[in-house]
Amino acid sequence: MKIPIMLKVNGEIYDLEINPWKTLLEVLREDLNLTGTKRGCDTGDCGTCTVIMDGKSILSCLLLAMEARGKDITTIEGLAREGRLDPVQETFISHGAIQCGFCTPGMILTAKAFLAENRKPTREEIKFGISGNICRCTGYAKIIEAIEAAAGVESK
Amino acid sequence: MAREYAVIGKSIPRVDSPGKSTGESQYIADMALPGMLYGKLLRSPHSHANIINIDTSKAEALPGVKAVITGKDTLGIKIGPLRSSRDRQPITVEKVRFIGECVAAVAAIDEDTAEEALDLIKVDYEILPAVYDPEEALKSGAPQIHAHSKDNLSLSRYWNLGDVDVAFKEAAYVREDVFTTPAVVHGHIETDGCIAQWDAAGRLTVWATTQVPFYLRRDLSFVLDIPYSKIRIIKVTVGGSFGGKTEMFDHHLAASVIAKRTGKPVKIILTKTEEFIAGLRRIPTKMWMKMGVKKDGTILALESKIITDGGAYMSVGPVTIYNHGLAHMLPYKVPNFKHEALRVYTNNPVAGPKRGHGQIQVRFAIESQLDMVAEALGIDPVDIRLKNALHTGDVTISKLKISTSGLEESIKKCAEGSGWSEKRGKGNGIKGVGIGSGGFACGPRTAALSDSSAIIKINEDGGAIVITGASDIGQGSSTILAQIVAEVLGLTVDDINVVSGDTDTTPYDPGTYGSRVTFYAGNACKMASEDIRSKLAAAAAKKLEVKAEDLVFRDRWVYPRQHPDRRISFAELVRMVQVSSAEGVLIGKATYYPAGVDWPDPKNSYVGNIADAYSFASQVAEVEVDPETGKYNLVRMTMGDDCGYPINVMSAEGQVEGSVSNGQGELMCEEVELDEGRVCNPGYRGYQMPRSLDTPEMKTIHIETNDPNGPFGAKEVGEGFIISTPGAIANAIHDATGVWIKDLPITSNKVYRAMKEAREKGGTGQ
Repeated sequence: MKIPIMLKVNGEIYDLEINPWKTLLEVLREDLNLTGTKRGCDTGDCGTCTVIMDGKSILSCLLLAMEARGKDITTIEGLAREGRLDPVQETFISHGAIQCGFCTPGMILTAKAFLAENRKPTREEIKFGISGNICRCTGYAKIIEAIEAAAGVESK
Repeated sequence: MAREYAVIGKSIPRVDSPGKSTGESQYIADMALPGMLYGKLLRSPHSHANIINIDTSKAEALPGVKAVITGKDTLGIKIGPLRSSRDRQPITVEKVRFIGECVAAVAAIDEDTAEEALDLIKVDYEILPAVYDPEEALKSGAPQIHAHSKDNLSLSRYWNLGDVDVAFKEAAYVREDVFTTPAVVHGHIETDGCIAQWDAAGRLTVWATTQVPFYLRRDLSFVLDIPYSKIRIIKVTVGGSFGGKTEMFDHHLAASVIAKRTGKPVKIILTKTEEFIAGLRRIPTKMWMKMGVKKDGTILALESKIITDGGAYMSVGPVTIYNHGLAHMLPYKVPNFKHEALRVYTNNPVAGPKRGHGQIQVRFAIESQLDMVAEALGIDPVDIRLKNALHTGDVTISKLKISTSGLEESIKKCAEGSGWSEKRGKGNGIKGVGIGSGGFACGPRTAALSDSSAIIKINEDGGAIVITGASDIGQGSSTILAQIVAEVLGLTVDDINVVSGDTDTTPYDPGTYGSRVTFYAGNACKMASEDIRSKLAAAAAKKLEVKAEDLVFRDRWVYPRQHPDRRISFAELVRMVQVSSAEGVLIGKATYYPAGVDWPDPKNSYVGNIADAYSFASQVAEVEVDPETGKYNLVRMTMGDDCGYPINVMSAEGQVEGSVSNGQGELMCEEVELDEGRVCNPGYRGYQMPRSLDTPEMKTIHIETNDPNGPFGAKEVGEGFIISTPGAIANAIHDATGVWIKDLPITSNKVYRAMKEAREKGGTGQ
């Protein structure tokens, strides 16, 4: 039995009919074709599926799409504005923070939400801020540097 | 040597990183074809059982289900990545040998229906006695897992070089230790998967996240009994793999068989839990190690016996077991060596290749034992490594030819860079520093075709398309290859597009494993672009009335070295040659095969030069331990890497830093916990991997040795670095606490217990 819901994603309003057991991750990927949001563990442990909801980073694999009704959702596809990359995207590219890239959308969105709350973070605060996101390729060092650069914090 | 490269040796952002930053890059799970079905695999809940019957009728009757297959719907052909080791039916027919083995597959109109159908398949098993401990499995009377292997011994290898007995008698100090290492998973975030589609002409296309598109084609051809020309493998963006995506797996066969049966494309994406249970993992080992040294610390002999738990099938066992021996030969001089390695079948999940394949275990043991020896003799760990280091021009007792070695420099620079002499032994039971070193073959020769080829097409406006079989799996090879071509042709990376990993359109490449891509594909791309450059140079020389060898290709211009003003643009030169000469369309091609390599001699202790170059590395780890609880942190790593010459500095650092993180995980926390063949921690919650909070301060020191055989002097950097990380950290823990822990992972709990035991024995724990 599908249920009608309205989702606001990347500034667009979508009227959808979904099965009520579908997670936000599934609806983003399967119904809206926003495949930039990745499925990693699907159990809330890796952070790969992170999106921003009402300014906070959340795990879309743990949230039923029904619970996202009326919320303002940003996925990785919504970060670049008018063809210009977000500064976090730019510093991830320029600092070599992207290898296989699978954790990247979730990592960038986590960083984005984190920086919105903490504009001048210390290195330790950055480490804490992204500790819910696993990256197996980079060893995190270049990701931390990229976030520092995006925050305009001088890397020592 | 003064470097005047325009593109090489710089920190250039990865060519694929913009697309990865926006979500535009398509991974296998993101792709869909019209009319596509979704497949799921049914896996055995038993570790050892005969399949009596499989009833698929209820599953087939479920609305939305389009096909259910079992092993009987396949040809039942056994595969193994190596010809000598074919022991596994990808979908088993009569017997299961580990929990998670595929017994059936379904495809339906959506994933939910396919999953529901799995529950409706009824499998009757006759449960058999099982064995999980390799030493138990070798005993007479143990359950027999394969008909072809009475004693469950899947492989054995014996090396005997020099005379260890004489050497141990001559040695001033000899010690023996036993080390163990557990099963460890690759931990890439993207799960494995594929989409298979047959066309009306009977051709199969498989889109896959794989490290080895050409091996996948070979193995699918074998199990489907159709020629290579009927199969096309297209490697898509790979979300990490580290050795985990190096074979043809059950899902590749299941998707192909169901796609043929239904006439529709079939997509199968595994879940992370499934991968933890049924995927490959690093081989667990038990290692008896004996080392004999002179009074001054010079190694006289190594002797070892290694028993490994290969799990239910062979996988790349012959490579793994060779690598155990190889790991003793680098990075120190070993004049006498005796070694026995036994790979054993058990009813555990299958062991395969993982970054630092077969070698990280041995290096952990030897790096630890070398420090124990140094301590007993009162020698500094840095000095004992310098004493034994392999140098440029050395030939090991197993005939590895060391074309270049930056080991000595890496040891010295790591010691300097870390402040070793001020810190070692001065941590007051809290801080500790430790060093580890390693060496690694740059793309060992394979039993199959080892060559890598490249084709380069020059566009009419002067850009270039590089066509290579080499697979970028996230390690950055497409960027490296673009840089190499850009450097030779005097272009920028922006002018180059790399097409890779498609078995129909790109030339053969063995795949991304054994840290071979920069070395093999890099050399092939360099040669192919030199081919084009020489054609262009001849034309330019004529026009500019200079000698071809005096021409410089740089920044999209071509000019005589002495007269930069008499220049012609690269694009104009291309037009001149392509449009106005008999040359026509410019295509460069080359195949690289290392001339100086041998196949290890199985009749003589696997003697032979397995690769054309060897990388070397050292690293100094600094830890801080809480003496009350044993909890410790890796605070700082100083990493000296001899990758010959870093083609892309930032990328090389990324490989080294990622290796440290992976090695840190293996040392500190990672372990697949098994209970009677069942994985008890099949997810990232139970299986802890390093997170951002665990990241040490990292400093990479590039050691340049400019290997004559590498492209622009480059050697490998992707795999070799990890093998000495665990030893370095273990040695740092010892420096802080005085305890040795010989069983990985070295959890805080083990440190606590070892310190407590040392205190109770009357020591200080320090």
